[in-house]
Amino acid sequence: MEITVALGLLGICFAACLSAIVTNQVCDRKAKEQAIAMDFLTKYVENIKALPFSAVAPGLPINSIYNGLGGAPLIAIPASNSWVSLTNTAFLTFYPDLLWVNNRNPAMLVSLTQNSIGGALHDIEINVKMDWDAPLSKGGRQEVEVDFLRTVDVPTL
Amino acid sequence: MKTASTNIASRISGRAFTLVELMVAAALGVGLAGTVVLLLLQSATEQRTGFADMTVEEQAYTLQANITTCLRSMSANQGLTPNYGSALYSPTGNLLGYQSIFVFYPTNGGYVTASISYNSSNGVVLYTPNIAAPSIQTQWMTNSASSVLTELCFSSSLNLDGSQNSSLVNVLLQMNDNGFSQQSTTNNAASIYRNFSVQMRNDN
Repeated sequence: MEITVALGLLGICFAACLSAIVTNQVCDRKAKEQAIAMDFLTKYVENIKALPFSAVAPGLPINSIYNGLGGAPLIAIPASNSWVSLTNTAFLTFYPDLLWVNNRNPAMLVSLTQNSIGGALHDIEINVKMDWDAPLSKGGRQEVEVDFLRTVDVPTL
Repeated sequence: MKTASTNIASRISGRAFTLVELMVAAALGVGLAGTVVLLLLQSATEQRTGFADMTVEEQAYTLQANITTCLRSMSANQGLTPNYGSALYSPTGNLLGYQSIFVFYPTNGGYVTASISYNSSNGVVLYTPNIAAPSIQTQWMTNSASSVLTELCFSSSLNLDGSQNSSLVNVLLQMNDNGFSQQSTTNNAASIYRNFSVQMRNDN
């Protein structure tokens, strides 16, 4: 009887220790993946910010070095409000650290909202989201997003 | 006269373990010791990899922040000028970028030339705010026992018409934990390969 109780207590301690280790691993991994996703979005968005205003439109590449020609990866602005998978070679070339989340269905959603003033297009609100499965499926889909506003280009401020 | 129960108790307390008892006890002891050692090893590995990952991420973040802050404040009109002697090629012969660049800060109608350079032999990244005064430098990064910068290079982008856009700078950096976590290189969370872009915003 005493042995059973002792083994039970030991088993509980063992499970608690192992659980703490796994929880720590999951937390570490989540933090790293969030940093990777944020970094990926920052790079994606920085390229869009550098585009001429007229080129901020679905289907157009975010820069000519990502236009899919001559062996270059094709990284384009996707159709608004359509999820696109980030597991293909083009995105891995664009941002190699995506490899760390490659087996957990990473996807990106770009939403473009056009605002006009006096009938003329004045600015575009851009929201870019990335989400992916959490490590060990603990906590549902992870998500980070970036919002910014592109106003029409002006020759001088 | 002794009672029977006293005799039995006396005999039990006085005898040694049987072989079976000893083997069961030994098996339990080995199992428990193994469990404790497993936990210790696992927690030690976790502690080591966690520390290595955190250190490398922190170093990479700081370096990235320094580069981004610097490049954003530089002249977009002038863009970057590579130090052509620092060109870096892939094993297949493709130009990856330049390990050293010159950038330009607008001031008083002119420009001050600054430079960012990376030395692959010791991982030192140096920022020189004015190359006319080379003694004033800031060291952004150097290799240490727990982090090594194995690659850093800069490249420009293209405009839609295919012309050079040297104000949108692509930066590639590779860093690892110098073997601190004792993980294999293929599955080491502390081995990072970052690639980011910075649009110069000054003097546009």
